[in-house]
Amino acid sequence: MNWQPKEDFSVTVKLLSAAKEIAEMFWHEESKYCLLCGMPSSSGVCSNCNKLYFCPEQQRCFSCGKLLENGSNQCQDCRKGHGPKFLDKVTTFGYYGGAWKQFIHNIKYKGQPYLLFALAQDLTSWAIKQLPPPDCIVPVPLHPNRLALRGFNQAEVLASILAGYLGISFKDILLRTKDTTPQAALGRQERLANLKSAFDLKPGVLIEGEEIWLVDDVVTTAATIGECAEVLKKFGARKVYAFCLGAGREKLE
Amino acid sequence: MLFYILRDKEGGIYPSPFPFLDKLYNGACSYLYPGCPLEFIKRYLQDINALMPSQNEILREISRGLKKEGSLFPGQVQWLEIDASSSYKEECQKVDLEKKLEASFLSMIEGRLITEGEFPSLAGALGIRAAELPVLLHLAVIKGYGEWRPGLTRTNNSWRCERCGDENCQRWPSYYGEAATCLGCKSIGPVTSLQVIFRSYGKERQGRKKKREEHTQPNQDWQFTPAQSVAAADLLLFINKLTVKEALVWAACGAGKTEITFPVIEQYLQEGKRVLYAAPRQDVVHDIQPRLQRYFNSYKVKIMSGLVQADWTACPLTVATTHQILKFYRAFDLIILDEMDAYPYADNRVLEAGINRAIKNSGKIIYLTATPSDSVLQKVRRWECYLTRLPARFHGYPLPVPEFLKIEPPRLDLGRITYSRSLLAIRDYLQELMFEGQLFVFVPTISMVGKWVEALSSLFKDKKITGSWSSDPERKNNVTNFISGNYDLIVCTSILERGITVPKAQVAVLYADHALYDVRTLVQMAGRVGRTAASPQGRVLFIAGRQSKAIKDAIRWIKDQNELAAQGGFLRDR
Repeated sequence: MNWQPKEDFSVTVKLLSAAKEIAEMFWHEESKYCLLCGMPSSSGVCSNCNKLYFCPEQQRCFSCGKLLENGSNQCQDCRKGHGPKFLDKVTTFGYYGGAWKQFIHNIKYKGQPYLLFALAQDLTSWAIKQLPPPDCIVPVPLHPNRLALRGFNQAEVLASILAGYLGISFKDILLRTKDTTPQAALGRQERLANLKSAFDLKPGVLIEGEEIWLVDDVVTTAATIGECAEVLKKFGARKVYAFCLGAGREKLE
Repeated sequence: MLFYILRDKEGGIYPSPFPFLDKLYNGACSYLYPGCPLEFIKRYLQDINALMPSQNEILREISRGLKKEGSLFPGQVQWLEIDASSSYKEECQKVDLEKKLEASFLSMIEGRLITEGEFPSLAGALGIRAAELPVLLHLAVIKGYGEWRPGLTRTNNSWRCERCGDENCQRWPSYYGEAATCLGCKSIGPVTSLQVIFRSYGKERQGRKKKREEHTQPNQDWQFTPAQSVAAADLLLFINKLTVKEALVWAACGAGKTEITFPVIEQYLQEGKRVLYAAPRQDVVHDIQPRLQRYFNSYKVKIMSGLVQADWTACPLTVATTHQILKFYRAFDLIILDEMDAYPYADNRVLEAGINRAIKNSGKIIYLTATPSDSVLQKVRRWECYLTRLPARFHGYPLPVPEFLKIEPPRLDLGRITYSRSLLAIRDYLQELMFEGQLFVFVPTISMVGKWVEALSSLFKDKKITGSWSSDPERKNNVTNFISGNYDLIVCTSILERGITVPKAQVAVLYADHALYDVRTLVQMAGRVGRTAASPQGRVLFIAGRQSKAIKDAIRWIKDQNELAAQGGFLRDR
């Protein structure tokens, strides 16, 4: 029974598998999984999640960034004049819910800001498609106390990604002067009042006549970005556009 | 959480998140403002050579660090007196610390590793505000029940996680220079180097009464088979008489290895000790918890897995998935590890290290498996691990011995399976097996599943045939349908090798000499047959062009088990 060629065969197999391992070092196909749902996918986010959360075919309200259902370009609240006054256009990347909300939470609260880099390409191309190219990109600041506690500013990470990919200068020029209650804990009216004169421009910065992208993670009432835009406009910015990762959907009665 | 450097009157320095508490209990008098993450402080204090550095040296070192890492701290780095009337005091008094630091809280945190991510859940369990919990934990640190550890510590050129010990991490730039998030234990809540972990010392508290609860007789509604009672007695011997720390129960597939640990668990529980029953997969954990609860009905059996909400009550008996082990430190007197060779525990150094952290120094570990890994068998050979065999199934019939068929299954070069003599021969054998009952056909790779389903469907027009593999979205559906008898044949990869019981099942393994099949996989696949008392027998076919070492070994392992069972007199006379 014990015939010789079998041994030779196993040596060949070993050699071949070693050769294969070496080859894999050069031609390496990474198995990819969707960042949001974890299912196998060819790109960073699978087509299902892309449709579900990023809704590229849906309009966003140009003054507050909400996702709209009915094909118009402004939500009813903003038409009544409740929206922010100093922003020229707002766009949001996705619908703030489900797995996308979880993803943003992972970035913000669970110490994984590097996750954003996987989406850098998608974020940049969406932003530049929706907004006119600016002179500089400005993140919404955190209060120094909160920054010291969290260790990073997620808006800053996002802004620097956009700036890096587009080759536009990144300027961290805003200052948060009041350590406010987190907006997430408040209702609409409180949010607006909470932020009154909470922002300022860093001393010695000139933005006279510049077009600016303002970058934040989530927009709900647009109170934060509205307040920041007011400061920027006050110091002479010509246009202020805003880009955010997530926003709510307009609820129609 | 931010930590401050504290200095007491003798000049000793140490970090603390709540200077006021340390003034109250330790007599600390001044602290360095601003606060920084614990890892940052530890790293820069390390650089100071002096045994008892002066205030200025520390101040210089920390401001140098802040400047070096480019953090834009707006204020001035300075030493401040701890103000007894600071707002912290009010905060602390509101908590009414001493009263809250009672036995129930201490038993909750005993033997635990608590990350910042888990604080809200623990605070909820205690019924206090999330901001109060760190204060309470720090008081426990002051009183010597535990310590603060940074989430990750910097090693020479990388980071090491303080929870799982892994060095596989993602680095990112932060306000304090480079920071890192551990990727090894991300699935149970990420840890970053900016965060801290509360680690209990896990030592016995002084003055703790050994509770000998009134234990009602266990609710035993089944009988040990002779083989089981021998093995159970063997385990009791291992626990009580032997000095070896680990034991291996090498059981036949479907022998009832869970039950034989019950007498040992019972003894530990009666002594007031803590036991962990860990299994690698969620479904196994959720299957075993009710069985343990039914048996030990006078104790609460806690369940921990990704599927259920965190339960913080201290229980003598915990059932958990292996990942949850990372949440413990020197917590258990006995750990029972089920199916230790199954994914994800097999060859996972992180989880292996986790077991060794979770066990107390005096604790013991029992491994249960049908297919022990080489490393554990080596331990047995070196006398580092005690071996108990459980060779017979509960119904007393021997394990079906696999038959090797020297037929080369058709190759799949052309993309589909072509008719050939070997295919027809395989068809005849499969036909024969299907007379006996439902048939598992195992193939080594996912790409083969679809092709074989197609080929077999055209061969057996009157049979219902399905296929499944590990990442199949329809997997759960297909498998439950197969178990309930809606299909005659299932083509699958080795996903179904464990834990599935189908009465009258038969098994055919195609390409059994494939490199992906090792002896353990083959034994587990053969173990699908004859698991019920109603149909204790069946056939297993290994179909391949040549007899690989794994095939020989698998047949030998099964024969060995049967021989041992016969020697022990555990087999039913026929």
